Amino acid sequence: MPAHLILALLLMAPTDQTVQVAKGTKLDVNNFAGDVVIKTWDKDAVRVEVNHSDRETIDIKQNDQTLTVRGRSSRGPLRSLDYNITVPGWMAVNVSGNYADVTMEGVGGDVTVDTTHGDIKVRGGSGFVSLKTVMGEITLEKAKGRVEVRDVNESIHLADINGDLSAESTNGSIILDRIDSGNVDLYTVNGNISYDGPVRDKGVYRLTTHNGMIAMPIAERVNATLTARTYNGSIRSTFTLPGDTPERRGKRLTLTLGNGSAHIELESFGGAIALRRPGEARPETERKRTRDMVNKVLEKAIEDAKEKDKSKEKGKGDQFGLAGFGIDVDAVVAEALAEAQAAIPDAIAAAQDALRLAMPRAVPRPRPDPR
Amino acid sequence: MHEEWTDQLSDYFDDELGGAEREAVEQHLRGCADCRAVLNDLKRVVAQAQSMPPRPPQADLWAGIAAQFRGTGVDGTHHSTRVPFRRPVPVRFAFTMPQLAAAAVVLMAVSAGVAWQIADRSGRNTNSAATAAAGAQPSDGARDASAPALLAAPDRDAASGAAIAQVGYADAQYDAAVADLEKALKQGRGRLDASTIAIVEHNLQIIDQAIAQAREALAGDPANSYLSGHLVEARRRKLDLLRRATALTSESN
Repeated sequence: MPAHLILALLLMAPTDQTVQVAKGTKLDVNNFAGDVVIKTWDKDAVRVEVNHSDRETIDIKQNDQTLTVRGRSSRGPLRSLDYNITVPGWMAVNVSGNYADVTMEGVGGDVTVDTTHGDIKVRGGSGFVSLKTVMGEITLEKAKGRVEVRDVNESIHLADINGDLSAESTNGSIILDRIDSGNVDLYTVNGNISYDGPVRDKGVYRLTTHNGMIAMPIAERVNATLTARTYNGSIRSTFTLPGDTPERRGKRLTLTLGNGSAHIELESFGGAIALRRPGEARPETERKRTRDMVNKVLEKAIEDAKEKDKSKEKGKGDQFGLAGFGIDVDAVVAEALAEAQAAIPDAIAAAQDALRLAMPRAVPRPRPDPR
Repeated sequence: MHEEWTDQLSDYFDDELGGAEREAVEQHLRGCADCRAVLNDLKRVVAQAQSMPPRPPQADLWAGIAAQFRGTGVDGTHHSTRVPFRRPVPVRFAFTMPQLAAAAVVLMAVSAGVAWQIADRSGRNTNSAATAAAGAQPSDGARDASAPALLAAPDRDAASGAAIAQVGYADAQYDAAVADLEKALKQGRGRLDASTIAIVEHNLQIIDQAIAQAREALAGDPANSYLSGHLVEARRRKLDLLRRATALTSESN
């Protein structure tokens, strides 16, 4: 099997295809694994660039109002493919995958991304923007319209959003910058929520976490009914709230500010709820920003080191064998091993099924009668 | 590059070539250093792979086998320890994804509605919500909040007619929806890679912990409508995550 795997890599057959598209056409990309990078240009055409072996084929099909892009393999499982796609600025884009990192820049239509393992970075999008991943950070900037963001195990960062906003994670923080919205619903189980943006009259702002802090800016002149509730945490503010007393505050705080037309609900079971004036320091976000900066520096250093290694390899002159074909034997072995490991759960499941058939089964418990 | 030969090297190495083809490849190899180098690399790769230490499976089969021998199902239920030698008819529950999704949505709506009604009622009448008949039993509002604990022990409910009477419709449906989704997830587990399983399980633990903390808090403060609502919300998130994880198993087909 490894031999087949390696030989398939020998023949590279890159795809670089440009397809004319009519206004209103939607792009639909599915990539099992690999990067999907989407940029825009001012042509009514879509350019698809992918490097792959001759075993893989990139199908680009246009039907009705959709241009679909799919990779397929003539032999064995589909391997990791990196797509570079250029689309018209007006185009709606849908990307799905399992191990796909997705990056978009400047897309002007609807955007939907759904991946399992992978970061999502989108700048742009309007109308309906939906981003989902299980394990990967989500970053969305400069989007307009209805925004829905769902993560499970990483944090969410949204900036310069204009429109209805719903964001949710289980184990990650939700950090927002410069949001202009009258309908906000943010929820995480384990993480902080930090909001930044004005409170619109008649707007609804619901920020909920189980284990984390909530930070919300409250302008001096705002028309809102503010409710803050916590169980194990505390409620604090950097300014004196009208009618607020320590007795009233405790674990629950309800205040009417101005005519009270907007509704702000802040709930943290185990963390603090912090109110501040717009523009004041946001210490809760500093740690993340510092960490992000360190990560960027580290990534850059790693990339630089890789480039240096490549330069050294090139200096070695002609080589025979697989290295002569530009193949890293160790990497191929690691990939083969990963594929073998991925097959282990199926084998276990098959064994368990066989076991269930071979051994007596338990009788299912009766469910309680709701009546 | 001798692509016509490299295509055959794998089959040659795997000893899958016929006599004439094999002879031709061997003859070529004698005169071609490049192809010999490729063949040597192939050998090295296979040797490297064979030298890899064995990795234990992510899921331990022994627990299931041992449970069967002990007369206890994988799901923890007890059954006869001695069974005549006959092939048993397997009892399986099968649900399609649309069925599960539709059921979960309906149940969620019912659960949330009932919970909020109860929470509202308990807020208006804290005296009646403060204690249950048995003293240790939570109030209506708190019972909804403590549903996972009650439903996690159906045998206890079955043993007590009063307990059954107090279990709300939404609780039973919620538990049933969670159980169905967990079963579907368990069945599809083999289609997910180990890291995805680990992440899903880790996050389910986080939600379960949040539910347990909220339930415990509610037990000490049964009239707290915030805690009731918080618990309902956490339970809804658990359903959401289970649905998402179950959907992943079908997407991986």
